Amino acid sequence: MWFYIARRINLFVFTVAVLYLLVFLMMSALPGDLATNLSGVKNPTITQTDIIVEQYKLDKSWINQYLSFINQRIHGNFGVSFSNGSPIFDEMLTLLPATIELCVYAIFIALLIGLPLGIIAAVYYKKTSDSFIIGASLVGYSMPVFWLGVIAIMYFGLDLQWLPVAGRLNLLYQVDAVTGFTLLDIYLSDIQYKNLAYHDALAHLIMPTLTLALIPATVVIRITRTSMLEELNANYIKASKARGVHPFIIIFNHALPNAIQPVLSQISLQLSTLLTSAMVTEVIFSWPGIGQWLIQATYQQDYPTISAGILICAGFVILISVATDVILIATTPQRRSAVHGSS
Amino acid sequence: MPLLDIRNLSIELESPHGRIRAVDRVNLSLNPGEILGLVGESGSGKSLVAKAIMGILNDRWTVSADRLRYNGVDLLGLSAKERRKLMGSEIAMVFQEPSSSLDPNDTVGHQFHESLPMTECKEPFYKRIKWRNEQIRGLLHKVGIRDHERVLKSYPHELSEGICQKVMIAMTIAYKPRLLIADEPTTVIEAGAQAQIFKLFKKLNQLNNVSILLITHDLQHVEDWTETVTVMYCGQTVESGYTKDIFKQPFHPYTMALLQSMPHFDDLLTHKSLLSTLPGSVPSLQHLPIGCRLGPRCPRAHKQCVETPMMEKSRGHYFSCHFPLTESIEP
Repeated sequence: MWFYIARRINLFVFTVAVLYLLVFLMMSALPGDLATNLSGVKNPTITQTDIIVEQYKLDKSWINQYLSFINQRIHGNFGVSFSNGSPIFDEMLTLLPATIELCVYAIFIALLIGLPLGIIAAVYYKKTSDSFIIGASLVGYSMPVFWLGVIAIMYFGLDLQWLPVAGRLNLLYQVDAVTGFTLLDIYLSDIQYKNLAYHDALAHLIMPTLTLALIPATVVIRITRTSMLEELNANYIKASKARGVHPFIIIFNHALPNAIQPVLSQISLQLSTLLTSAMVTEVIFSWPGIGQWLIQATYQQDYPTISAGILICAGFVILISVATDVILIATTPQRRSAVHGSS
Repeated sequence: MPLLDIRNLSIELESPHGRIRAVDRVNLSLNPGEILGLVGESGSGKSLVAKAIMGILNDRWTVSADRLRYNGVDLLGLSAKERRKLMGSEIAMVFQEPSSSLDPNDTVGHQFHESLPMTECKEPFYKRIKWRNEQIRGLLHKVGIRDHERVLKSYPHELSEGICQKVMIAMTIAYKPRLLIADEPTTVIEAGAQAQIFKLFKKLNQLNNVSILLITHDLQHVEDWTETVTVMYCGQTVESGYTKDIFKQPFHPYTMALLQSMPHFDDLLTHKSLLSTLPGSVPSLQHLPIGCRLGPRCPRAHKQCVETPMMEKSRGHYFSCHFPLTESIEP
């Protein structure tokens, strides 16, 4: 198993290297000076130019340039933004937690809704509840995120005025960004009205999270249902039924642990889709996350910011998929001793 | 009164081509303390019968029977809960592929813990784990597993098929069943372990008075271990009676063909001579012949065979054939 983990880490390193190479090639292909594109300094002075050439080894071969590009990025030097000249890395540090917060809660809710419904659908296969759940998941799956977000804002935000329509926290609450995760920050801060702040943060979270969770939830329902159906027909389920084991024990102790593995691997595959819909959701709900930031950068042709966004988002997806692989291997006894990924 | 009494059991499958009768009016009766063999080629519906008795068939299958009784209880009329109670205490089944009959994601020990009948435990709750472990150890020793600690800690894929089958048997005898259905218990097991498992069955039969329904396609096992035998072909009962009688004088051409296909390695078998077989293969479920299903393959088929023959009885020996064999089998 340790060998397998080493192989996965190896894969991670090489994939990220290829990602950096692609971004580097893109930067050199983009219009404008490579030095400007990499560093983000628009009209550098002579001393600044010298520093940039020295940092990115622009007087050497392109391989040297590529390696020093990786070196700079790994050490947190993502250059400065074209639009406001502030360091991109600092901006990302404040924006990334907001996006991760949204995605993590969305996945959590997707699992919370999807797993039980999928199990119910599989257990009552071809009964009314099954067709109802499958129909509802089809409707949910085909609902566009942007439309759903706007409708939710109109109904719950404007008509009923139950929930706030934009932002992460009301400006009334002065909470310092320590970790970047609102709930955690409120916990760490020493403001007077903590409970009210929690309420407000949760109220801000509800609509974006649910909007974002809809599609993953339907995917989870369908995959859980198929893999549960497969497992419920397996021999060991029949054998435990024949031993008179209680159906609840059969479903939750035997069928579910076996059925959940394809669900987890599918979720990690869904992550890139989730990030894309997170960007849309962030724009709709004015959520100060990385997606909104990236879309604005695209409008302003802010090349350093775009490249930083690509590196972070793609790197995040690769990291999560490698981590899921390792977790899946660690939780599957048959594959624990495997050296290679297949089977 | 027979322990298991099956009269005209039919198992049907809904398919796009209409209803397919995979098992056609099968009769079976098993007396207490008896070992009954159920023989037939693969695909003759033996496992379906077993699963119908246990009630673990998919929803796709429809089971109907004039009588499907266990110890006087109508199995088809039971609710799910009553059936579970019955299966958890009186009827047990051993499956064909032991390693796939254990949850691949769970240790053998944990699965064993679940299958123990806790109603038998009289200990207070804090002594229960100890009681369970003792029970499990005893059961594993009984089926011939000595290194119980390693086995209990292992996952099913780490054990051999023979050990898995022994574990399965240990789990099933944990609640002291009165009827054990063994569905080809030794097909995937090496020869040495096969004999051990059959000896174990015999021991259970003699010491605990367990009735056994042994489903197999190996006539050698039937001859060695069973008292009565029912031969099935393609979902129909062709012959049933005492094993001794049937092996001495089969009445049905199919039983005859089965017996002849058993190679006798003593004499008469010359070098590179052809072994006798029944030509053709079992028809697929979509293309079942009408009447006697053996018809197209039967060496003695006549025009009359398109009508299903009735079960006839001759001195405790049932057969369903219009033209029973009367000449005796070659030694």
